[in-house]
Amino acid sequence: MKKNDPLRLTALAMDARAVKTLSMFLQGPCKNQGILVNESNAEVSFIDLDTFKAQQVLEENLKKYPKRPIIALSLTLQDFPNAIFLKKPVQIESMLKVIAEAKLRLDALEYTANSTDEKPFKPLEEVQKNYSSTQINPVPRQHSSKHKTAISLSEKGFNKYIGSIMDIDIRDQSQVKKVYYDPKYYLQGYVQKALRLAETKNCVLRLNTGWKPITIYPHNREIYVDADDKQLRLICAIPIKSLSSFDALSPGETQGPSVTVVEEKKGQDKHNPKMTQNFESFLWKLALWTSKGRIPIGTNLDSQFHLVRWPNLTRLLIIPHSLRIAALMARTPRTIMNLTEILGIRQQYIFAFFSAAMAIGIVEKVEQQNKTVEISTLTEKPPRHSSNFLGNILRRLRRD
Amino acid sequence: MNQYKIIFSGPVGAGKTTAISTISDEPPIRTDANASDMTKQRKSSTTIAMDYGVMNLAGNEKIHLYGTPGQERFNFMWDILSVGGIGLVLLLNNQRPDPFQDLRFFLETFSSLIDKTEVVIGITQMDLKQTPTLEDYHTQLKAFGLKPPVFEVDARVRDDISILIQALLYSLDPILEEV
Repeated sequence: MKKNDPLRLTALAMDARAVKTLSMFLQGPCKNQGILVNESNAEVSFIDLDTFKAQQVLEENLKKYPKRPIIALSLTLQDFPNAIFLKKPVQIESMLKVIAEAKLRLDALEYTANSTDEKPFKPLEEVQKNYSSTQINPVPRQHSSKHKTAISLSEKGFNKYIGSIMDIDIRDQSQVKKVYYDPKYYLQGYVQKALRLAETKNCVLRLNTGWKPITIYPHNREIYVDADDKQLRLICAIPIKSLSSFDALSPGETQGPSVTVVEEKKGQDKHNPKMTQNFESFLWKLALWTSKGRIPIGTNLDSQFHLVRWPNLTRLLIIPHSLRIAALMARTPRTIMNLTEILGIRQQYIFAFFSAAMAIGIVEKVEQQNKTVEISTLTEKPPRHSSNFLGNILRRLRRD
Repeated sequence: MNQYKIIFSGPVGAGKTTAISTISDEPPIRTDANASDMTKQRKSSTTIAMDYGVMNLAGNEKIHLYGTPGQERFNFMWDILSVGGIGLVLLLNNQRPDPFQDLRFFLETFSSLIDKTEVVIGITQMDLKQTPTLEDYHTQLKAFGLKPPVFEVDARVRDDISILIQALLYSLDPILEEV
């Protein structure tokens, strides 16, 4: 081979990421002195001996290509026939040295002529296809409903999906009264009670409300109901009492809400996986649709609240400003009205977020005397970068 | 022109490469493109390879996306990589034998970056292994005095990575508005 021809290497016992890293390393710092090709076109095998199954891969390689030189990468010195040892961490100099040594061996063996006749080079992209067992599948797995990426609502979408109410003047009690709702009269309240019961009793329960049965699986924190979001959204707005009378049209199904124990896994195999949801995303949605931008009755507008943890926003229905509200509530306890003032957004967004976060149990009221204790470990860091720069990144992320 | 970066870290197989590819405007490029930047800090750093992506922003600005190589043979350069980092995206694979050990390891390794900036955590493979739960992670994080966003993510899904980075930006500045 010519002195400046790149050495054709095949990477063995390395995952796709390591292969890519090696490829970049060869192209960049090593100035193309080596190139990754598929196994059959290679002149030299490059193996990471510290990985799982390395020994097995090595033995197979030796059987297939007994004369082919091997560059063996490892943290500890290892010795076996035909191998050129390369110690981790890899340095440019050491890599170039083993490449040069491999080239000398090839020249001596005249190996190139015997092993790679008329076989065209394949680009790395093609080579990487051969690592299918370790490569990341670019196609996302088929997820059930509970692993689906969140839907993000725009302000327009929020109005359509949740409804629209005017901001209130908290000095006017008649207006304040209008921002409260009582979850216990709605499906939300019954579901919350049934969830608690299922978890306490540790058994599968079915909630019968006169609407569609809702089955609760506490072991994997899943809920099954044969209804889509549109149906759920509609039912959330109707008080359960009205629901019973509404269902009087279906004789025999007019009893009040009840909970029954269900034999585990009974009927579960017939469930449509798209209708299975986890507790948190289900309750979050119910609370958003039931509250319609109001807050649970009993919430003191003068009290300070904070988030005990961030909600899992990649798997929840995201309403406008959710991330900002969460960031602010996770950082420091504040009153609800203070949040609206700081963020300068409609109260309805804060109320809706607050109701959903309350429903999944991540909001905590902070008593004045405990406030410093609760947040003592969470120090506020002044922003180190201009809001313009960060806002610019934000715009880019939301562009598509 | 700034050299601000978002650092993606986590153990091998957590989805760092995929996450960067998912969000980057350009396909990941070879490492010597930024070697000159790093040689200012330490010469040996030119020997390493890493994942690199970029997001092109308005006004010809850029935010660089750097993935720390998971292999221990490259870990000597993590400190250098953190220079100019605006925050850390830590990806953890829920299928690993001890994800909490990974969590502790990376939080300790990047403690100085986290002290100065913020961290967000994405848990991958949760659809294949549901435990530990996100709540379990939050419990672990309490011991570090941290309350960062912890989300279930699929590194191949753009929206998941986008929301994770947005959470990082709002953690840095909750009042932030899109410009």
